[in-house]
Amino acid sequence: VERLDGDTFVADLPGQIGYQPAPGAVVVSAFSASNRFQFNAIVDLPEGGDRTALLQDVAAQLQRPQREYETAMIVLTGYGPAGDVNAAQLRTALADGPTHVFYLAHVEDTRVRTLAHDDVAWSSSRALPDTAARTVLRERAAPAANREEFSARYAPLATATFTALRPDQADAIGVHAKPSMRADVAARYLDQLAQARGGDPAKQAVIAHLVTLDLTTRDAVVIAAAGDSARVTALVDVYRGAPPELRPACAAAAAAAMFMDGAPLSAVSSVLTHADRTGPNASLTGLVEAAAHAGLNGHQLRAAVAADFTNTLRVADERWTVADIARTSAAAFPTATSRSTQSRSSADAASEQTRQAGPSTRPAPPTASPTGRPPLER
Amino acid sequence: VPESVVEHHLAAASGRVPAVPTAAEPRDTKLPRALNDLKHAAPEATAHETIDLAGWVVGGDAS
Repeated sequence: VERLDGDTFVADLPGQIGYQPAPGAVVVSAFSASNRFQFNAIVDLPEGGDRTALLQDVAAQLQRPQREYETAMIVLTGYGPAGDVNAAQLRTALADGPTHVFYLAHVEDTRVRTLAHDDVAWSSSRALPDTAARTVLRERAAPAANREEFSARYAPLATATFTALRPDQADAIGVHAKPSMRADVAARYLDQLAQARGGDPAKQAVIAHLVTLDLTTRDAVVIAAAGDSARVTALVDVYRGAPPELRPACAAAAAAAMFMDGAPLSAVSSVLTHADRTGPNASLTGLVEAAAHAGLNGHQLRAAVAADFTNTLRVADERWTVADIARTSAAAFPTATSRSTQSRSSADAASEQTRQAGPSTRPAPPTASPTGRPPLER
Repeated sequence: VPESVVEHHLAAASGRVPAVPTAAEPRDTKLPRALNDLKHAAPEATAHETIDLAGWVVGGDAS
């Protein structure tokens, strides 16, 4: 277990959150009875005026996560010239809640002073330690200068980095691929995109297609990404580089994966701005938005979802096999009846809609992707 | 029951949330939004790190 001194923790806050808190902000950092970190909440307080109602509102919002986590100690870090006053006022508001041990820090530029629980006087100011090495070691991006800049990192790119798959390529991973194979491709491609870090348009196009294929396959992509921050970044890159017609679905999937990976609310909200509101992913968009804003812990959700998904995939495979037999029979003995009544999964229907053609026999493997590589390259 | 496992769990988790004010919809709509961000610790991080605030106690080394 690594023991982190308080000054290093405070210096590392921008790296943990993703951006430099603005002057007037107070970061509420919660810890367990054994001093393990639980969550950071960023509170922006306006200057001056009677802020009692506002502080009480924030305190009310923070009661649920404190109770859920059984928070034992809170560090309040105030930024800017009024950081000490802001932190102290928020402590007063929080003192009516479930946590009773508070440590305060006041950060101005690169210096900090602190007020320990039970102490009555602030310490003298001292330089904050340099945490650049920590950022590199944890493979985190350097913190943005402010929240707006941080949110901009999650905006769609001006120019798409890939195009939608051609119908024959779409079929190879759609109607002609078992759901478990699609899930396997999603996991492998996200892994490879995460490792490459440079982006691979052909693989990005496949991931985007999988997201739009059907809900089970979209879930497979989300679950494959959510367990690993690098894979989540790869999925965010897919959404950012998606052509406009694929962007809403990819944004919904990326936001869900980010939420389940514990991304900050501001980042999830930024992606949700571009997510599907009217199509087949609108429900996911709304649910992620509600869960993220309610402060639910996405990490906990991820474990439950992953445990259930194995069974879902097995059932989807069974349905696909039945449909595939019907499809093969229809192809071998084509009749008008078999064409119109054969059983099809929603994946087949979605794929067929993309193709905008009638049922077909199994096509030859796709020959080229947008970059000349096959979409199912292993 | 939603066809999607992810949606099913999100709906179930959100359904368990009592009617508390959220960052998106503060309890008192006259108030400006103040709680602007929330980030949970990754489970692996909490398993490997603890904070030591002994250095913040003036003139003492109590932990």
